[in-house]
Order: sequence, then C-alpha cells, then structure tokens
Amino acid sequence: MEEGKISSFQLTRLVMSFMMATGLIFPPLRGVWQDSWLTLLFGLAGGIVFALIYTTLCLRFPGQTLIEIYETVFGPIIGKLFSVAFLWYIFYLGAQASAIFITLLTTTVFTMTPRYVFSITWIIVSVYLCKKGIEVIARVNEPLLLVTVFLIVGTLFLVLNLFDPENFLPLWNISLSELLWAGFGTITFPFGLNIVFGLILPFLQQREQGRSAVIKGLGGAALVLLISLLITVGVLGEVGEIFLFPTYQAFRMIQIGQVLTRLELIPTLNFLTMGFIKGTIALYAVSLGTAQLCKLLTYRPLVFPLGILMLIAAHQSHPNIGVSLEMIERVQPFYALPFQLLLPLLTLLVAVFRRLPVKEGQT
Amino acid sequence: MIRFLLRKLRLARHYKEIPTPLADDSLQKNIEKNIALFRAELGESPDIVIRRFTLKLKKEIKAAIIFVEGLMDQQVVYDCILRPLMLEAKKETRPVGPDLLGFIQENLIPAAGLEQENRLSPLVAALLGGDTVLLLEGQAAALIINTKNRENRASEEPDTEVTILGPRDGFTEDLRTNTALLRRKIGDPRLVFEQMMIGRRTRTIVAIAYVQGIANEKVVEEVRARLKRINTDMILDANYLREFIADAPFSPFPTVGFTERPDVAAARLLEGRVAVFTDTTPVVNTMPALFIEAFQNPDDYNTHFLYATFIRWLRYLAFLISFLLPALFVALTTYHQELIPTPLLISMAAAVEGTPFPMVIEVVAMGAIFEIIREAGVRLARPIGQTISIVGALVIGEAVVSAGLVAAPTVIVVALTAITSFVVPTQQEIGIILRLSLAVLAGILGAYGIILGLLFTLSHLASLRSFGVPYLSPVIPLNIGDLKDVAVRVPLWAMWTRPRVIGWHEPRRQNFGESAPPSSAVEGADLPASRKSKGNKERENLKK
Amino acid sequence: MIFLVLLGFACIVAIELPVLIKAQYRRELVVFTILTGAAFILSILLALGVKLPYIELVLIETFTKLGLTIK
Repeated sequence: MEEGKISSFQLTRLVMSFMMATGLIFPPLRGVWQDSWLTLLFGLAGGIVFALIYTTLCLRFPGQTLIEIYETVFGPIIGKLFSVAFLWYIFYLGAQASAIFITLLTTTVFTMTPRYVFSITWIIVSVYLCKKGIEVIARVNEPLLLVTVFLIVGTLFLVLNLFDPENFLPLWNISLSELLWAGFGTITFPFGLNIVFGLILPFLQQREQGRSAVIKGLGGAALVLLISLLITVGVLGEVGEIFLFPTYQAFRMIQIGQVLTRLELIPTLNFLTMGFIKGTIALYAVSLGTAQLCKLLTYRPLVFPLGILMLIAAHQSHPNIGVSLEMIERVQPFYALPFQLLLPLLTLLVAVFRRLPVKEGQT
Repeated sequence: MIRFLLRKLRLARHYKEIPTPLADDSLQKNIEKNIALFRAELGESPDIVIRRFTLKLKKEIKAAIIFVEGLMDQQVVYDCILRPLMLEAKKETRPVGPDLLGFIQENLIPAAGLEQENRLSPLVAALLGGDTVLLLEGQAAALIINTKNRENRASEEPDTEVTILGPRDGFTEDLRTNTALLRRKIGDPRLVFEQMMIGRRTRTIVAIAYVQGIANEKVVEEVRARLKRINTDMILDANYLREFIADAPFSPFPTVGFTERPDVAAARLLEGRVAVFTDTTPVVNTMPALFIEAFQNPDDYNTHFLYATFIRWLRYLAFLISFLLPALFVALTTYHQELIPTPLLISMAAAVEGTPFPMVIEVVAMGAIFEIIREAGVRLARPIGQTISIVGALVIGEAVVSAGLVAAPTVIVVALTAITSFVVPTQQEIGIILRLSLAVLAGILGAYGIILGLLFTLSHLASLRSFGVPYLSPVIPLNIGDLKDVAVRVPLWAMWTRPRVIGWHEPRRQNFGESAPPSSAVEGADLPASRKSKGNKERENLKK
Repeated sequence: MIFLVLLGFACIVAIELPVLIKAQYRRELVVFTILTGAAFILSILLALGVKLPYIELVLIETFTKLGLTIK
C-alpha cells in the first residue's frame, strides 16, 4: 500500500504543520482575547490526552491504521460503519481547511478572482504531491515549516515597536466556565485534529517513538501558536476582536521605516503553504483509508476522484466565512468529539475487553 | 492518446534486433583463406591495410599484418612488428618449437600488449580498436598486437568549468588518457575500472570507475545493471548514456552528474560516487547526483573557506534571482503594488507608463529574445557570436526601451536574470523552464501562482531520487552534519566525514580533530601533532 | 463551464484508467469508477448552477436540533 517510511522527527514536523495551519488563521482567540494563552495551554493538555488514547491503540495493534483496527475490533460490519464515518470526518477536515484558506485569499488579497480558479489549481498540486506518498509529503513539509517558524519568530521582532504589553492586562479576566468552554473548543480545534495521524503512524520507521513524536509535535505547534497569539494580542489590543482574520490584521500593522510596510501578503502566502500541507495530509489519509476500507492494493487511483470530491466539498462548505466561524465555535466541539475521543476510546475499551489483539499461540 | 503512446513504448521495448553471429568464425590454417575471411568481414575500405611479407626463420613463412590506417601508431608497427619480423628474424638462432606463434610472441615482438586469438569477431573488434593483427601461414590463430594510437589533443582546461585557481587539466576524448588522468589524482590501488562495450554499431567502450570500500556496492551494482540494460546502436556522448540510465527520465532536473575535470571527478569518487567514462567524449558521468552539486564549484576548495562560503551564498542568491525575479516582478507590478515601497513604486509607474503590453508579455517576450540571442551567439563562430551579442543585447535592449515598446525596468530585470542564470551553469537548462513558467503563472494568478508553482516544483524535487539517494539531500531530508559542505564550506581539516547519504559505507575521512592545524604554533615550545595529543600531554604534565 | 468539466474528467480518466487496466486491478477499478462517477455528477450539477446544500449549514442545523431535543 505505502512503501515509504518517515522518521519520527518528520512525523513531529508533520503534526506541527497540521496543527498550525488553521490555528494560525483562526487562532483560539474569540471571546477570550487576552486570556487566549490559557485556553491554548488547556487545549494542548486536552490534545495530548486525545493523542495518548489513539497512540495507545496504534501501539496495541502495530502496523495497523485506525481503519484496520476498527475492523479488527468491531468486526467487518460495525467496523466498516465506524470507518466510513471517520473517513467522512477526515475528508471534511481537508475540505474545510482548503475552503478556509481559499476564503482567506479571496477576501483579502485576490478579491476579483473567482474561487474555483484557486481551488482547482490547489487540488491539482495537492493530488500530485499526494500520489508521491507520505515520504515525499514529509519531505516537502520540512522547508515549509522551517520558513513558517522563522517568519513568525522574526515577526515578533518586527512588531516590537507596536507591541504593547498592557494589552494582556488584566491577566485572569475570565470566569471558569468561560475558560472551560473555550478550552474545550481549543481541544477539538485545532489540537484534537491529530487523530488523522492514526492513519499515518504505521509508516513510522521507529514505531515505538510514535507517541512521543506526536506529543512533541503538539507541543511545538502550541509554542508557535503562542507566539502568534502574543503578536496578535500585543499588537492589536482589544480592538482586534472585530477582525475576521486577526493574525492577518496583526501582520498588516508591521511598519518599519518606509520600506517594510504592508507585508501581510508574505505571511498569508506562507500560511497558505501550511494549509496546503494540511489539505494534502487529509487527502492522503482519506485515500489511504478508503483503499484500506475496500481492501485495495494501492490508494493512488483514488487520490484524483477524492481530490475532486474534496474540491466540491470545499466549494459547498460555507456560503460565507461567518458560517464557518459559527461552525467552529458552536458546533465543531460536539461534531468532532465522537471522532476525536469517543470512537478511539470505545475501540480501546472493547479491545481490552476482548483481549485483542490475539497474540500468536494463544488461539 | 496515452494508450497509443504506451503501445508504442511497449513495441519499442520488445523490438530487439538480434545480431546474427557467424556459426563458426574460427580461423583456418591457410593464410589466404584467413585474409579472405577478413576481407569478407571488413569490405574493401581503403583504410584497412593488409601488408603481406615473408617471415624468414629456418624456413620461409608467408605472413601478413592487418591494421586500420590512422587508428594505429605507425612508429610502433614499424619498430615492434615489421622490423623484428622482416629484418631481425633472419639472425634468430634459437630453435623454434612447434608453437610458432608462442615463439614469436615470446621472443620476437617487443610490443607491450600481445594476445593470441583464433576467432574472427574478437580479432575484427581489436582491429577496429586500433590494434594490429598478425597472420601466419599454417597457423589457425592470430596475434593481436597493441598498436593503438594514443595521440590526442592535449589535456586542457574545459571551457564549461573554468576555475581561477587549481589544476588546469581536463578530460580529453580518449578513454585511456582519461583513466590515466584519474589514476594520477587517486593513488589508491582500490580505484577500480570496469570496462564494457555499449552500442551495437558504435561499439563504444564505457568504463565504470569507483573506489572500492568507499563506494556503496549496491550503487555500483545498480550502475552496472542499468548500463547492461541499454540496448541501442549508438552511444556518441556521455549524455546518450545519461538519458538511458537516469532515474526520472522525464524530469528536467539532471539526476546524473557530469564533469570534464579530473579533480572534480576524483573528489566525487572519494565521496563515494561512481563515475562512468565514455570513450570519445571528455564528459564523465558521475552518480548518484545531488541537486546541491551544481553549487559546489572546484574553486570553493581552492580558496579560503570563509571566502568560499561567502561565494557559495552568493551563488544560492543568484540562483534564486535567476528563476524567481521575473515572476516576482510580474506579480508585484500587476497584482501586489502595495508591497513595493512608495518612492520606488512611483518611479516604476513612470517607467511603465505608456508601454502597450501587459507586464507578463513583456517579461516573457524579452526573456525569449534573450534566449534566442544567446543561442545564436553560442552556435556561431566566436567573433561573430560576440558581435551578435552586442547587437542583440545593446541595440535591441536600448532601442526597444526608447521606442516605448517595453518598460526599462523589464529590461533591467531580464538582463539581471540572464546574468545570474550563468552563475550556476549546470542548472541553467532547468532555470529557463522554471523562469518562464513561473512568470506566466505569476501573470495569471499573482503571488498565489508563484507559490503554487514553487510548491509543485518542490514536490517534484522532493520525490526525485538519484540511484537511491534523495535528490535534495542533505537539505531535504535534513542532515545537519552534512550541511558542513552545503550551508558553509568548513575548513578542509574539519571535513571529518564524507556526505552521509553517499559515503556512509566508510564515512571517516580523517580522525576527528587529529588533523587540525597545530594551534600552538605561535607558542613554539613544542609542536604537538594535534590538539588531541596536546590535551593529553597537558593532562600528563598535570599528573606529574 | 460544462465543457471544461467534461474536459477535466476526460483528462483524469485518460491518466488513471490505462494504468488500472494494464495492472488488472479489478477492485481498484470499481472503487475508482464509483468515486469518479460521484464527483462527475456533483461537478455537472454545480456547473449547471443547481443549488446544493452547504455542508456547514446542514451540520449546524442538525446539531442545533439535536441540542434542542436533548434539552
């Protein structure tokens, strides 16, 4: 099915990109503004718990992806049902990511260009990369992530003249219930999304390092997101809450002399590459999962049709970005929880109860 | 259509012309019959000379030598064959046994290479390689005498890879000279050459060279296998081989390296690569090839390491400019004017004012014109070529701007791109394709188009492998230790290891720290052989 | 627009199908055909200007109803 292998460090970086991509554009800021760093930490903790559950599952069934595990644990019919639902979740994840990024482009930079021009070109490159396999995706991710991290850390220095630490005061201006709700939201988006890597963990060179690699990736993503939150909150202040894309707005404020002004295009394009990686990983995971679901020998012929379906889903994702925001804030936590937490947890419990996997010689 | 092509390809694969070897082509005892055999095989071409004479030992024996005029060395044929056999053989007093050829081989012919052979086809092959064949009456075998003419143009510095400092020799068209040049660079007896013949009609001799123990056996085996798989009738240049054995035959990026310099070839062999020499061409293929090789100039290792690092970074910058600048220019001027600082924007707007075409067309057209001028200049004789360049570059460039057809910034951008594209000569071909397509993408989709094009290129590059080695390594996948010769050029004494992706079999070049120059030279008291031993000595002193 | 969709799908089929047929991947062929067919029908509908439901609106509605019933 997949011949390539990735190293644990590459997996860490893939997890980082996957978490950061939408997190950078829709930072967990809404409603909690200057306390967002708290919710971020909350989300990180929750994301690690989620990761622990499914990595335990993957370690229990070495060499199997989540799709195969569901089938082993629940039997062919219920397992397939669960797998189809799970695949839909990943599929829509990818569609959502590309929809958000294309909306970002069409609402900020290219206001005149029709959406489908972006989505079609996007999908073509994504399909091309996807067909090359996980090894190449991991390699392409390396320089892109490096540039993004450099850019965000560098921006921290570029905005020093606009940075106002008072924007963070008062420090704990949030009730516990608000914090819990916002934190819950942050767990499911973006940190809980790493459930996708349950389909990629078997292709790791050092399988036993999978868990630590994923957790390191989550930590790294949290760190980068934290810096971007610092920039956004510190530069924009309370006013920032009215903006649709606060991070974009913060980068827009950069002004050093007469030369370094209006630089927002560069980070936008850079976040775009992150979104591209995220969409590609999702597309890869869906293709692989579908191929395993149907017991195919290769996932490659499925990439193109699934890519087009993803393109259509991205088109039919939301009529306007407001709907998407509402979705992420109000519905996403409940929508995502079954796939991110309940299903793996249930599988783990059933697997423990049924004493699976059956070890050799125990039959 | 694709299926049609596939079918064609399949046909091409199965179509094998099997050369029909003669059922029995061994020589006979009658010399006239043997000569007739040669005549039948070689035809009546005037450059094939059959010289008959009589060998006078105890009795007179009819003899003949056959050679191809021009391929053989006249002097050797006279000194080593004709003179001893015709003049000195008379004075021979030693008894001749029944093995006449063996006797001649051992006692009479003072040539370096001698061989007995009784079948026609190897004899003909040797003949066409420049050897001389000696036939004797009553002998069903012949002697092959090495009389190859090694006269060739002198080894001179290749025009394509010029260095400021460093050796001035370059490979020539003769295989033996080239292998000798390499032997002179690498004294290690484990430098191995393996020879084979490729091309049914050209019968080109191809030699694989590698250093045993450093080169990865699997890579050598792979090179051998791929070369053996070639079934074509002509190999005229190294590129013929390159296209047959490249990993990604459709990729515009070269996945087989090449050089005309013995020092470069030697350095690559000592990093664990394999070289493939092709007779009759000065270009030597080396593999596996990395993308980064294009940026590693031999001069980097002949100058101070700080300067070399600096120059290497300039080279990276130039490469970036060469394929990105036109696209950026188009995107900035047509879509993202806000990124340009205001004063610059004003002066650029003034220059662009009144030109009739969109920026994309200007850039692409001027780029194409430049390539045409370059192509015209390259193919013509040198003095005319220079004239063409001057006319093209100065006159057209100047006139086009003053006529108001093209904006002056466009000409500046295209000229700058043109100059920078020559900084990294081996990636120049891909530079043209990349440059033009990115510019067109930028014209359609602005910066998004550039990013998309770059992502596509990156995906393609990241998927490439050259003989099992990732093409972009050591940058992607990242290997921090190997950046010593990529991000910087560390001092040579600090290059402790070979590049890991290629030379991991025998990674150690020199012991860690041992060969560092003595830092205490100024102190002068005692010159320790190395820092390590100095530390040890100090520690011992302390103990005392 | 419809012409473009047709052209695009023709390209995809031309790229993927020969490989599948040559390698005699039966199951792959079936799954590929189903997925491509679905994608094709949806694209044609979109190209014809048929209003399809927006996924996020559907999701939001479903979950709101779900929440109300639970309450």
